[in-house]
Amino acid sequence: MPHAFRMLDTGAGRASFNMGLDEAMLESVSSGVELPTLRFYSWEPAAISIGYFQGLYEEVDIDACRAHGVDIVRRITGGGAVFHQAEITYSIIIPESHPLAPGSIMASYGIICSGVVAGLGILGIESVFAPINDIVSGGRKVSGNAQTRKQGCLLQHGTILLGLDVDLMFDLLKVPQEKARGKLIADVKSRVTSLSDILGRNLGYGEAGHALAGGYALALDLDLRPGKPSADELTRATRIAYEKFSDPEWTSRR
Amino acid sequence: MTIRGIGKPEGCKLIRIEAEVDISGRRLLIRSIVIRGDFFAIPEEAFERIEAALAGLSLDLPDSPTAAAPVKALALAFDTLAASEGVDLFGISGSAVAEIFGRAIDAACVQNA
Repeated sequence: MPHAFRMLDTGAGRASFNMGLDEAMLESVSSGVELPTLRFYSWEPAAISIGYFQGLYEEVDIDACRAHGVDIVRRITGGGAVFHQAEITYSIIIPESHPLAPGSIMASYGIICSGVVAGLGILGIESVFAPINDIVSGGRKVSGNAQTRKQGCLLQHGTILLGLDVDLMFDLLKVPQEKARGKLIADVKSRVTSLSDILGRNLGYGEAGHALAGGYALALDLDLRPGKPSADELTRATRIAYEKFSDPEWTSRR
Repeated sequence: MTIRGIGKPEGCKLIRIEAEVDISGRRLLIRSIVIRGDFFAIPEEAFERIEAALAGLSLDLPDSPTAAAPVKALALAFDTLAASEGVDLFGISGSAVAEIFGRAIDAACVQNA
């Protein structure tokens, strides 16, 4: 029997709100108020998110972000810095007691990423999960994913690149060895690609979201029930966005 | 003194270490240590307890100016703490942290020699 899941498409949001809503949804799924949830969203304005353990000043050129109107947010998940521009992002929240959330974190990465792989398959793109947390197509990364476990739930969010501006990304990010910046940019250009580049046409958020939802339903055997965030979740998300994800103390805590 | 190290040991993500250490004779005392990078440690808050618990760790330095001995002890301490805190680690390990720490100590010793 398919697993009942709520599906949300919350469209474009600010970085702090996007992360606030993921956390508000975690709370509502954890308390049993809401079904396990799959959400799709994007970022407006563009943003850099950094991993929980990253150092803000080591990773991000704050002045450059300001000049380009790019937001900065620290995630509650580990992993690396991500430039969120032309992409679709998903988050999925599942109680740890659910059959789709095995105890092994690596096993659950594999299960959840299989939804993305199936979605890309619907678009005609062959891809595979590449542990620890990537999805690659033709050996090149198209998706990065990050998972945490909190409040008795698994939360995983990930990005699927629809387009890619590596030069702008490296204007916004610092690199470990400034001398090697050129080589690093060339390296990333060869190792990372986007769905639009693979397909040879512009792939939009709507088409990608439709395919990913189909992929998740297929791969994870989900009965997806389209919905909206509850009023409580939106209120809570706004509060968390303000009190945590917009707070410079949180952003610069490492 | 402050030591800083950065590296991406085999099988790991990028790891940066910043530590305040005192070296007196053949003893090295970690006063504080912060481990940053794009690794995963779940639960995240428990990882911060590992960092806090490493503060105060005292390590024996070898006669030669290399960090082989403290590296082993730090790796063991990190892994033991991670196990006792129940932290799942991905892209980081005790040996990776210790390897970068050891190189940072070596570099600081050379600089101060």
